[in-house]
Amino acid sequence: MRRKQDMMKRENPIVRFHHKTVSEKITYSAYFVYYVFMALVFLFPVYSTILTSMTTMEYIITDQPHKSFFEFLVVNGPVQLESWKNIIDYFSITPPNGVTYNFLAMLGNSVWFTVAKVTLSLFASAILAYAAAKFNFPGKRLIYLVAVFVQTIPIFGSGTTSYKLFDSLNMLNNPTLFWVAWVTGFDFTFIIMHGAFSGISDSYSEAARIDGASNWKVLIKIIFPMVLPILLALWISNSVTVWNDYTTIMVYLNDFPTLGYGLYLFNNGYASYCPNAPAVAAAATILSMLPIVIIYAASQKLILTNISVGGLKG
Amino acid sequence: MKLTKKGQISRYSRADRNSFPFVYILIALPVLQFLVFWVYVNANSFALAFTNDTTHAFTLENFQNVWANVTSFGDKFNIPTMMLRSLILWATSNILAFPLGILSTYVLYKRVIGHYAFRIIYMVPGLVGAVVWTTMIANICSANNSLLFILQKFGFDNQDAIRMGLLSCKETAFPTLVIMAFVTGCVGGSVIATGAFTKVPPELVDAAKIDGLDFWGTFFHVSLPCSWPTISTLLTLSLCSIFVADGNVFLYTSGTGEPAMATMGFYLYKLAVDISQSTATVLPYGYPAALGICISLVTVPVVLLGRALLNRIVPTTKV
Repeated sequence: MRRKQDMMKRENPIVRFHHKTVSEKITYSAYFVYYVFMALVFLFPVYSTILTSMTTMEYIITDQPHKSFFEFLVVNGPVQLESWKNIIDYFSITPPNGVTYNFLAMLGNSVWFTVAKVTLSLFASAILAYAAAKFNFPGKRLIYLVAVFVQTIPIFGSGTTSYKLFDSLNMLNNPTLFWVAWVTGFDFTFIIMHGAFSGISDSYSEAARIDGASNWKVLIKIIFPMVLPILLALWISNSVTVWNDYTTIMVYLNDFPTLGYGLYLFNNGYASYCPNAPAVAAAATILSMLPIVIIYAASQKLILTNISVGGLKG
Repeated sequence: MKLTKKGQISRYSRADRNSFPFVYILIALPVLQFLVFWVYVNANSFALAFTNDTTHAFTLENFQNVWANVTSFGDKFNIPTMMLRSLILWATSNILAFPLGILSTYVLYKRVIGHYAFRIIYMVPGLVGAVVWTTMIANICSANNSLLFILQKFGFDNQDAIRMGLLSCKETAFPTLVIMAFVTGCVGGSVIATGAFTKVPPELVDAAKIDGLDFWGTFFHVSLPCSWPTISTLLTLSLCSIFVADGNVFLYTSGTGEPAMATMGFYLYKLAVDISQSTATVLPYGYPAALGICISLVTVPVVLLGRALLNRIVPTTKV
């Protein structure tokens, strides 16, 4: 991984601005302005949400409509931090099942849901891709073609049928059985991992086999360490998606509300006692996005240098 | 060398055959899962489309209901209208915004000042997720909030929107979604595109510079052709949602699709949610299944055509 990052730097050295050509100076300057503008567009909702989390209910209802433009950019009414201090109790929901879930309960659900779903689906995709990329066996080509077919040929309308199947297998609201649904090998991750395994020279595993290593040993001791950075990058990248997934929880596991689904319920009339719902929802919004933003920011280089996908053949 | 019973050379060596047990143990669980949760589910969905929900007899009434919904112009959930909205959202995100995103990703990859921070900020809509993002957008688009205030300073004068909020007014709700699709589309695929740019051999870029190509010349003649397999893959995958882009309508409207915002993706998800929350003894599985078949029949030729076109637009360079 260090080698890849070094390569990226060598290929893209930071050339000082005054050393660039005129056309490059114009391009970089124009894009810098564009990036600043887009950054404002993306950060404005976040900033506005932070302000809302600190405003009082009276200010939101009565004063805010009469403020000037610049007064919108700061909280110029009485600032309150109650919604932050009491977020664990105030951000509580009572969905139709009658059980009350507080912030910590939903955070816990988000964590186990993300870890379980991402790990299982990544594991399934990786072993399937390893077999399809590195071994010669009947069905090898079919596996790749099916994965490409599933990704590129859209078939709709199976959501309700999936629900029917889960219901008949007693998997609804039953995580101890529902995990089976997450062992999905034929997904986009398969295509990335297939490319990664194909790029590893066979000489490593052949040398290990000559030394008497079994297939399991080659997989665990030789191949797995080589693709570990890619697996880690995919794990983090996929966990962003799963952390924010509310659709699975809403339809199949609604007794286990995550922060995302909890926020949806909180905004739609299922909040338990809460004196200032807009501010609490805003505070919960910021808190629910923080873990994933921090993890992504810390592992940005790992993700950018390890996730790539080639063309689709077949 | 081993011969088959017909005297032909076997495709599999002894080492290959010795690995069969190991390989089949590896793939057993994902393949079994796929057979049950994809093959069976889709086969069952196909069968349910031709089945009466109550009597379980063969019927075409589910398709008749879909057709009735196709021709019910003016209806809240009219299928062509919802598909058109999805198409507009898809085109905005993938035809208008995506190329801009690729260009800006390239400049970021070339390390413009502040590139590290910009990359993280650029990922905000994707990182925070649909619920959080829609909550924040709904917040700034609501009545008496900041965005409307700014718009009024620029002459915006739709009294309904000012009174109810941009997403609650019939005239401004869908245009707001389109603008959001553009904004989020500008960062679509930036992670994977950056990965593709890092794979372009530096020697090729150096050679292009020696040959006199400038910044954009290098991009269009070296980096883009080398990265095209990745970019065309992203576009091919996005084609699958051409008629079912949802625009987060479910979240913006609390599942109602009002006012005049319903998209096809929203509608398909709403049908699944309605069934999951229903307490009825007979659930309407047939109609969503028939609708899914119809949309697939419309979408598949478009996807195949789009994929063929993408493979012809830019000559791919294998590196």
